[in-house]
Amino acid sequence: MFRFDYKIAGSMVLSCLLLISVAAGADTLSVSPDSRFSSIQDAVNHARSGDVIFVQHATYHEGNILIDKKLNLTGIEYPEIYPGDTAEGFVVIADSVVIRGFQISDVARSYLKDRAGIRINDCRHCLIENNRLIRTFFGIYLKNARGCIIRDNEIEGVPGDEASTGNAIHLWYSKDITVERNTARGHRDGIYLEFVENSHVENNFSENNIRYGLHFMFSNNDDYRYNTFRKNGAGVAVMYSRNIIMENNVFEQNRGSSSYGLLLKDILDGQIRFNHFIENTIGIYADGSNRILYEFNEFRENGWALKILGSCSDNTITQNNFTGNTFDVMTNSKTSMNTFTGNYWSHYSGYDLDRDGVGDVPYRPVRLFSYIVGNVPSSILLLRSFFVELLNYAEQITPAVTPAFLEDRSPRMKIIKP
Amino acid sequence: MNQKVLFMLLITALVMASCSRGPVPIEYGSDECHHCSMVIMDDQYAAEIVLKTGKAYKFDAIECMVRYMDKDPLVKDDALLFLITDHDHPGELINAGTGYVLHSKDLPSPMGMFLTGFSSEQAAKEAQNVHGGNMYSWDELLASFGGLSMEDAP
Repeated sequence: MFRFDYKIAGSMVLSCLLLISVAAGADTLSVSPDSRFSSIQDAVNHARSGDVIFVQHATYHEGNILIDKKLNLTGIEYPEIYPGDTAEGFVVIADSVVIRGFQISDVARSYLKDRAGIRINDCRHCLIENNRLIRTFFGIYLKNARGCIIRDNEIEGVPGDEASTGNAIHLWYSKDITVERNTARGHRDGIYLEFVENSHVENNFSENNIRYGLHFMFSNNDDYRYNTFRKNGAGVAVMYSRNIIMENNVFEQNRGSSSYGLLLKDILDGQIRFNHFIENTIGIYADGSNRILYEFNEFRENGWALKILGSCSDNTITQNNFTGNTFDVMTNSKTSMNTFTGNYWSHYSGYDLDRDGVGDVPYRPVRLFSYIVGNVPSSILLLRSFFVELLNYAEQITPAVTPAFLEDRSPRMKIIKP
Repeated sequence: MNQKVLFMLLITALVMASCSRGPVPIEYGSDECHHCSMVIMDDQYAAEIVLKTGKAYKFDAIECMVRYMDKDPLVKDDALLFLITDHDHPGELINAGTGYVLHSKDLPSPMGMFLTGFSSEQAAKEAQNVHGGNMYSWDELLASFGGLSMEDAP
């Protein structure tokens, strides 16, 4: 017996409606040098909201391409856009715009304007993916944007001219932004966030940037995970921000006379977990940073694993592995208002007679000689000398200069597996 | 004889040159801000305090210099010069006392306070006509800095 199924009928009507709306609403336009639309701007001007524009592979000498309605611009085999000496690449001022698969080259430096390869001004829900930005002053620039996604872009700065370059990905006054799987090289900062809230930075690769691989300024409630920061001026700087979650990142080979894997300056309530700090001059440099949890991180072969200044308090450093660092911890204060407990220290030489996996005597990670180096940097020359080892040993037994309270009372005997 | 005199003059000139106290050039991209420890990058916003000893504290922004003066009030007694950058001539340090500062939402400075330096009242006014905002002399800026908020520039 036939029975009318409202569910099936409803979904059929709905899909018919959808088909009609797609057929009626979205046109497809094609741009190529020998077709009706030979410039991207021309196609954009003729398109209606919701249309798709395919741009065929060719070289386009046009700049300040203004996207003022909801469009999907897709490049076929990376069409090359050269905006010229005085223009930007794309300027997006409408919501829900997609820009995908373009190559934008040679956006010139300007003193008056932060010119960018792709600029998003005051809009929402835009998707910028799979683009290549080569020698652009700023790569991708978001101003007052919300809910946008920036992913799988490759951004390469001007080689040898980093000091006069802008940031690869620049976010300003924005909210709910996702930045993932991008590559940023040769810029001022790889990824820069100023006044940015509730945003995620994941799986990016930031290398050889002159200042920082990633930089937070006045930004709260953000997180960054699974990124790699290699050979930047300094890996990551988190400044004047609250509630930043930092997990599973790799900070490596950020070297230089005062270079850091991670620089913390005046921040509150963060979490630093499961990260790897490898071969940096200083693994983490913390100044004025409070209530931060350092847990399950690996500090390997750094000059200084952790420089934590007297201006830091209520931090907890627990279950981290400190292996093969020249100095484990350095501070400029005689008191310590931070908790070190249950870490593994490769320099620890105590016994574990009761075999509970925890060393029987506390470990003091601040060595006398790191103090001397702090005051007289050139004394690093004496690092491996017999006399210095003697001094360190004497200081370990009866601390006079180093903070006696900065100690790990339950140092682990074996490397911690997180 | 003549050569000797010339040599002596040269030495004296060298000694004098190395003793001169004045603006110390900022190495953009490698010098760090004395207040916020960021590497100084932007040659339109840097500032500097030159001490009587000839030593210089360098800053990446005017706001960092003012905040530092707040933190270390004694620096005023030790200072010989307070310098800011003339926005119209990037990389050029000018005397803060004779300069003017524009506080405008249009011109974001590196440390989030929207302060930009100009060499004269005229130049600052021209920029104000284009970008809007409020104009301050150096003393006015120091007096009202505490009241300026970070995110609400005019």
